Amino acid sequence: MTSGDDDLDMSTGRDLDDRLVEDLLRGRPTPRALEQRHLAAAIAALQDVSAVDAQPGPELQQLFAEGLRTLPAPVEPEPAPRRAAAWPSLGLRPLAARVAGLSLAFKLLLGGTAVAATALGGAGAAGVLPGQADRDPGAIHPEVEPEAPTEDDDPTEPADTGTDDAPAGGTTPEPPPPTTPDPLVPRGSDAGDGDVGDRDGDRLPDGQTDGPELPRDGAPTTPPAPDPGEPPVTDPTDRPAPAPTPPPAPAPPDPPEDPVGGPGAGSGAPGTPPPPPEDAAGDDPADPPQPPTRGDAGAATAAGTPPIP
Amino acid sequence: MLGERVRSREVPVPEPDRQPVGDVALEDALVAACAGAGWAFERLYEHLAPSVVRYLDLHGASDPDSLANDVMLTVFHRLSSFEGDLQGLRSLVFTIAHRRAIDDHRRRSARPKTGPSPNEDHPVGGDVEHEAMEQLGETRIRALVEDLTDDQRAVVLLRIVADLSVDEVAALLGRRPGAIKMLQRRGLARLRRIMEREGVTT
Repeated sequence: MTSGDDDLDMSTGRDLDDRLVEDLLRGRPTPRALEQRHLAAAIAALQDVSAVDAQPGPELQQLFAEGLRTLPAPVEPEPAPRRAAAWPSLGLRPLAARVAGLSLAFKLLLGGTAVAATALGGAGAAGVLPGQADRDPGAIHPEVEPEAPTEDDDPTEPADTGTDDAPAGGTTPEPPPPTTPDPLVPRGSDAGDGDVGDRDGDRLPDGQTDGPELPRDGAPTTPPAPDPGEPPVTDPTDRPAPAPTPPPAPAPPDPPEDPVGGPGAGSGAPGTPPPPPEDAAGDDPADPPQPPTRGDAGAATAAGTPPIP
Repeated sequence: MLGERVRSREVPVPEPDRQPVGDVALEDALVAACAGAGWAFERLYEHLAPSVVRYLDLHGASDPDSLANDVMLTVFHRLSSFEGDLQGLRSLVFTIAHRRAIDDHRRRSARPKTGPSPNEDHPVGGDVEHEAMEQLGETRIRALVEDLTDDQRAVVLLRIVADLSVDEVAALLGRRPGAIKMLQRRGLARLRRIMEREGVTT
């Protein structure tokens, strides 16, 4: 029973090779039957089941009499509860398996998203969000919304489109007629008075902007507070449609410019008609408002407003 | 598999008036038991249950007869999906018996059974001298087995009482055949040493 006796068993059991053991277990005669008689006697005693009187229970007797289909399945002993047993009750086992199959990056992303959502929800429940956001989450929307367009140089801007079309169409770099409201220009004007697209005079020529009314590139990063008497415009499609712009005039025979808004794309570039000093940006179809391009950053800087990095 | 092969055969249904159940070949009884025949269950029970009771008893089960009934009932309910021969059935029976013995041992771990209780399960009656000799033999055999370690006892009983091969015992216990042979060799050597010391030859 103790491990200390195993050494002795090792020394005395080496003569029990596999073949001898099989012969003893099968009751076959062995060459060393005499010296193994004690072991053979022990094996025979263990194998003797003549004294065992196995009596079938009532269920087994019913099974013998009627066959298998009459009895319910026996109740298996319940295994020890496992930690994983809680998953099926919640129905989360497929979800857990799916999450387990994700890569480490997805797991980290999922965990980060869960932490962020929990933190935001907790902060909102605790009422520690910034005042206006805490009281009216919709109120922060117009304040945040105008920020977004100023940070990207969207290649779909009208200026870019105009310059892109210039080489192909052979016209001056003018934006096409705004069939849909330009999501950029009105917002820049929103910062001023909210009157967007109705008056072309609101649009200032490039490089001639004044602080809060900068269209985009030269606009300050913090937009001014919206007019409290005017509902904030959150969706550019909700704005009033701009005045129809007459079709672009035939382009003068200028050489095609840099389509990507190079040095000539902005105002004051060679080959571009100089913008009028004030107003008339929309009155003259040949001189539409010049949406800022990359080249406008320098113009905005020249106007005293810092460019957006 | 043999199970698929034997299932395709026609299930023999013995006629009780002409052929006793005990005379039906075990292979035929296995085929019929897989089909749910009650007589086949009885035949298999008569063949296997004594060894199961013996195995559970030498493992120290508190109620070997009841436990053996549970084992056989479980096996019979699983026969509808069983595929194998008689030796495979024997392996299945003693796999379940071994697990039931372990469960029973765990349940009784708070109050382990230290020694045999001869008169508890086998009341003496009739031939008193014969019963006394039987009890003495059983007591000696129990003492032999109890001197083995748990692993040695499991291997020796599965090899001798259950009549399983080394590979089957290895699969049942989740060990390698080499380890089973080593445990078997040590266990048998210990049995032999005890028998030689006592000078007993049954």
